[in-house]
Amino acid sequence: MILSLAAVLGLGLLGWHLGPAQPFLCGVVLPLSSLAVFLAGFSAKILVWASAPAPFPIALTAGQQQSLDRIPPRRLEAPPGPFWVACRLGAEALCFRSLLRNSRARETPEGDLAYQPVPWLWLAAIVFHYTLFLIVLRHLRFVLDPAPWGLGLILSVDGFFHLGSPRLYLSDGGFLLALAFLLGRRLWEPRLRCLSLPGDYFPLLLLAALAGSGLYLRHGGQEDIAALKTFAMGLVSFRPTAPVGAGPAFFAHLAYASALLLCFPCGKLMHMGGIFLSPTKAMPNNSRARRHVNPWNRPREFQSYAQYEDAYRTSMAAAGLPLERPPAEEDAAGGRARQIHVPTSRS
Amino acid sequence: MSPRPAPDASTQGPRAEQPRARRLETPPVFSPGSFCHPARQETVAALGLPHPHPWQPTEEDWHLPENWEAILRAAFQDRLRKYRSLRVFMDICARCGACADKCHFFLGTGDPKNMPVLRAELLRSVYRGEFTLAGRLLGKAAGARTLSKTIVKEWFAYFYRCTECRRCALFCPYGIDTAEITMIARELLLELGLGANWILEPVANCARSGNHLGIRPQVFQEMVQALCDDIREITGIRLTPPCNEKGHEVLFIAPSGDLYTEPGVYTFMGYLLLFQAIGLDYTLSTYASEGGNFGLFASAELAAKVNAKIYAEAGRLGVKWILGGECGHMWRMAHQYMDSMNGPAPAGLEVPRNPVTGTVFRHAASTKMIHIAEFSADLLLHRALVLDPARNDHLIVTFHDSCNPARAMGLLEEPRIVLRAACNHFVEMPENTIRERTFCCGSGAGLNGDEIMALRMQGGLPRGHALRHVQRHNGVNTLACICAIDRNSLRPLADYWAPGVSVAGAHELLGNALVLPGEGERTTDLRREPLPPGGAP
Ligand code: SF4
Ligand code: SF4
Repeated sequence: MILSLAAVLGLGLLGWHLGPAQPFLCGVVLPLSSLAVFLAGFSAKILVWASAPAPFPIALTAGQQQSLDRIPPRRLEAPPGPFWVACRLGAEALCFRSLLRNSRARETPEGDLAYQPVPWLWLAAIVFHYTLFLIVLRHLRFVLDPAPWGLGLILSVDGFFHLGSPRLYLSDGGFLLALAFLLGRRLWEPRLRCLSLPGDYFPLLLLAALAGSGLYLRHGGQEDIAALKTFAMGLVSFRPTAPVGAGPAFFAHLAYASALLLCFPCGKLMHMGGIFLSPTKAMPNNSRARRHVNPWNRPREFQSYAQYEDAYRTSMAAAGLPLERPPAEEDAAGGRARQIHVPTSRS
Repeated sequence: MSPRPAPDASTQGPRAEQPRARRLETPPVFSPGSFCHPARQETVAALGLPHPHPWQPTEEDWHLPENWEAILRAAFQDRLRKYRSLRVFMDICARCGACADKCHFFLGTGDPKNMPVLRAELLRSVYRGEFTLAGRLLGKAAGARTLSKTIVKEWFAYFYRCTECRRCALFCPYGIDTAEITMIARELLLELGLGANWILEPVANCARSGNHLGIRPQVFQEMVQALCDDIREITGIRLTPPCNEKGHEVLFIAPSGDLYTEPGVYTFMGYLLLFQAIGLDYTLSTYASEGGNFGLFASAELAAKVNAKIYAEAGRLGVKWILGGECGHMWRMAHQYMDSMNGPAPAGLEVPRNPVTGTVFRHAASTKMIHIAEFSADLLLHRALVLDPARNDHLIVTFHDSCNPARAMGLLEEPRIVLRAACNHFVEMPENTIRERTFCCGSGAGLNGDEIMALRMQGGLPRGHALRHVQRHNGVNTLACICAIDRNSLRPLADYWAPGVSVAGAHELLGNALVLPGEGERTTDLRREPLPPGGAP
């Protein structure tokens, strides 16, 4: 936690001081190279995952399988085919369905454990991810000219409460609240504190700093929005110009954004892509209906029936079990085998 | 038998967590009752596994092979190449904590490393330290560790405190399955010659004699005969189940536990009665006399070896399809692994078809193997069985979903159809402890040895509490299940957490209720306990 906090503060200071002095380095080279690292790293990770085979169909079922006609299956929970797998993944990625299942163990007055649903983590996660998405979307207006109609609509809904000038966005508030919740539970819940790594605090703090510097730019600083827009347009059209005249806060903001892009592919943030390749959720529960081929499977050596019969022929004959080869043929002890009646089918 | 925890020490579970414990820095403790006995050198050698050697978890020196680090690194790398699951699960955990209090071992012990996320982190930290750039550069700051002998001990401690129940995966937003991680970690340990005797001994037996206990063919036959004698005394009907015979329609395979231990034997009697009632054309096999597969708890390789006999025998006997008895991990195997490991099914096999109702079980079109609960449920839905459920009127029954059929198959309704038909008094345990959210018995994945009874009772806490709840409020006196391990492990669990509740297989209760053509008046149930008054037809 302390470590992550220090790292984030350091990053900001770096951007703040270095930025105005080296506008081209901090305004153009850093963001563009971070973007390149992000894109390369993200796709490399996905490729590495996808290139590893999924040898066994280990779908996780969370409801009734499709079996008998008269038992209604829960296809979303135990997907019988690719279509339902896609639906299940969609529900996971868009609605965080499994998280909605979350419960907390509590002791009842009788001393038993009971489990109550707790929606808070789900709610925070939903707000967090969707507002983050909106905020990223909002940034599009810096690089799209004219801003598309849909974006304008989002902006006006988002700024619905005409509070402050420039208007405060709902999504900013939601994002900060959710962020505070997610960070707070890591700090206050003993269990979470015990399992959190520096790598868990760092992205949260980074996002907090990113949001903070962004808010300052919009509401606190006197940035020249038109100039920033020209700069951003230059970046995306690959005719970059250094953002001359931008304030230190802007460079701090940019440094945070670059750091986020840089650390994305090598940390837990990759969960964004992983969910679609997670075999327990991304495989259908039809393993008995369709054969799933394991590419590295190889024939096994195991005790064959013939070997088994060789090992137990006398005992099997004594039990009246049918044999492929009667005991007399090979039994060295001879005498014993002859006392045993050769079995016939008894059914 | 090892010491059991005092009841109130165990109920402390969720409160007794030790939040201040430094994450991964506390070394593992091998206290009595919490660890499996090590596999014997001869057993490891007999299975052809690497580095058989004598060792003891409680001793300082585990006598690891000289180049143990290189072995582990190579094995880990190999699994990363072979399993997408491992690759993805090593990378994407967000440590959101949603899985933390979903594991029965965490709830029962309060040990932070029993939180699924930290259990996985034991492996993940090494993955970061050994195989990722960030981990190598940043070390501890990136949550990375490099291999050490303490870590090997920790792995043995905590990956043999996971029953591969997959409850954590259900709650994880990315479906991270700690069971999968446990399976792979156990494989890694096996590369160093470290295994659990309770798991490897049955595997070695299976390889030799066809079943976990090493029952020889003659004895197998005698045991079946003894059950048939009991059936004759109870129902007046004489059964002669065919064994190893060619030319029948169905090969029936049960977990061998149903043949030699109570209360499994009553379930086996139930199977036989069912087959008799509908005149099923089936055979048993002594060669493939084990549906269970402890190899699955050791490595994919051993699982495939143990399982291979099933298709081989079905092909040799020329049956049309395979029917499998009530067993949890046997069905994890049959449903998710068998076809990929040892398939495709032998050429002579056909898509299973119920000879009585005509139902074609298309959901098993490739594997050609169906679960007996699916089969019975189909019969019951077609009203093809004559039942007298009043014979079970002395029982108030609840049902424990075994982890594997519930979360790796989706077999939820079928056993309930059987139980509701066979019993007049059926109640469910609380909602969050059944169906896909079922809690493990605490003894799955080979953790059902007596030496870890204390651990098992702690892991059984959530199930025990749910059972105790319906015992108090609904007068439940019978816990039904569809798993041979459960039939053994739920007994001590019930004795400990809810004394007075007995354990029965679903098909035992069905066998009680079945009215067979030509049977005499029954005066006792399959356990030879008197039927409730008015229970006879
Ligand atoms: S629920 Fe999944 S992502 Fe969250 S901590 Fe557990 S394993 Fe990690
Ligand atoms: S698979 Fe089951 S026993 Fe293992 S960590 Fe997950 S919940 Fe716990």
